[in-house]
Amino acid sequence: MKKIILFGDSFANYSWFDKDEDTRTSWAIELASRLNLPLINYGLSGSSLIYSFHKFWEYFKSGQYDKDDIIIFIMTNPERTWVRSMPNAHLGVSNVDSTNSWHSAKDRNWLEQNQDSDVWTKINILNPEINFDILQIACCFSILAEQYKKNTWILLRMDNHSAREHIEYLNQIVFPSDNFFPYIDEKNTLMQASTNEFSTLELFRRILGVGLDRRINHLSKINRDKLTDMILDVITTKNIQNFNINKFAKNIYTTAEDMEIFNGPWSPI
Amino acid sequence: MKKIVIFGDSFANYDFNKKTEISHLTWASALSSNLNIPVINFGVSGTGMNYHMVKFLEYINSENYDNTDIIIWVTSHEQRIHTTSMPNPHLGSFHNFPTGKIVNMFSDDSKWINENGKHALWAMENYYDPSINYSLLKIVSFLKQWARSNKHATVIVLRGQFWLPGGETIDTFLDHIVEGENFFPVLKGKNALAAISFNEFSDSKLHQYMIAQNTYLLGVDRRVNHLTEVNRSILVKQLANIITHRSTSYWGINEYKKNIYTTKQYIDSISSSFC
Repeated sequence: MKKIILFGDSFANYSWFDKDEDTRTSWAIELASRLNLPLINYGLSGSSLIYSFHKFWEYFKSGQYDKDDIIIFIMTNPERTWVRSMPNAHLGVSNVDSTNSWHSAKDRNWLEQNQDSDVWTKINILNPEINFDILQIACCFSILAEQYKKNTWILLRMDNHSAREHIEYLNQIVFPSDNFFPYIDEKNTLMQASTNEFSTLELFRRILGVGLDRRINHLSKINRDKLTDMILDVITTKNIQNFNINKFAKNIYTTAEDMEIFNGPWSPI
Repeated sequence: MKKIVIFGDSFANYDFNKKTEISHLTWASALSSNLNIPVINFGVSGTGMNYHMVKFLEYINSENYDNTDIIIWVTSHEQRIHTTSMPNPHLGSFHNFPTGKIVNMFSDDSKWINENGKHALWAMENYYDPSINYSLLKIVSFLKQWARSNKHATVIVLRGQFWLPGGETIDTFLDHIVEGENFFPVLKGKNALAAISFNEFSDSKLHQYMIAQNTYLLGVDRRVNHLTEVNRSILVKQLANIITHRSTSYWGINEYKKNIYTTKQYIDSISSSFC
């Protein structure tokens, strides 16, 4: 049966701390509703690019795969790690604070035993200078899209902090087609849409200081709706031009008063 | 000017023994003579695939690159690492260096291993765990796409190593990487150059004997590119045919000679010179 299949990190699935009720207002749920298609969301907050790629192959070689599926893959920060011994894949996120109270006992135990080597791996092996994951994985999806023409393949990019020096090669060898829509250049990232909601980086950094971002998928409702609209347009019109970072609302939060929404008891935005 | 340009590890270039010039014995040199095309060999023994990627991107952005070049890429062991902090890229296979030999063989490597070896080993075993290691699939995907965008170039990808235990499932995903007009992949594990190398011995104990001899007595496999001359010649013939006739159908694993080494005495007898 035709479905929407989604891979990625918190921009795909906002499932921090088992707050699964928050996903009801995610852009993915809205997209599925508007297309009247079932959704399988393999996204996991804090997870790595390789984790998503692994989940993709598990799905692609399973009975879940359908030749008409719409596959949306959000490419997260390639400096995140994933290893099988992690009790939770979100431990691969950069700069994990092992003392943070939200870690489970299993998480803390894993961090105590592995964090030094995990950080070494991030710094040395996943160093952006020699990290080609986004480039190579985009190439792999381009090849699959050509072989599985009835599927719709959409690649979105989470941020532009890493691997930016390889963008020129992406643009030279990964091209859109009738069923393949790669939005992977450094100017069209979801993180950029997220930070553009704040008039200054200082305001954006304040929400990082208070812990969990209350915006589901790190986007306010107006921009989740815009994201849904744009992806819907891409799927229905097959026009690569229908996704553009400039269509997202900017400067939603400009004053200290605007930031009050991020304080007090937890309440998703 | 059109050239043969090679990337890979010791199956591509045999530079272990810096004291003895043996580059003229490699299959790469023989292929260059066969086709009368100059060769640039970026292969370095012991290196990992990310190192080859770095060198490839450097090369195609250099003045040496010609859009009609013949690129031959030999994939290496998927658990080898590459970092910018390594004094030498052959430390990608640092775990193979016996501690007692390191100081003699590579004087500036032991410091790096002492400072980084524990973490590097963790990365090798955990981050590059074969059951979640997509390195080979990712790199050949890139090469196929690059070939599509550089239609005058010829790209041949040879599998250097077997699949790793635990990596069998991911290995089957390579079936999606198929031949193109200028892209010629030989990716099945059974076609690996390591398989040809291994099959030169009549049984696995003899292969292990030679490895032990090499490691502790000689320091290096005396077979240039880990292949005996007769098999290097077959490799050259097959590569020349693939390049000339534009098809991987000219690859044939069964043409390679097996059971060349059948006794320990024979292995000992070839230990004094390269073959």
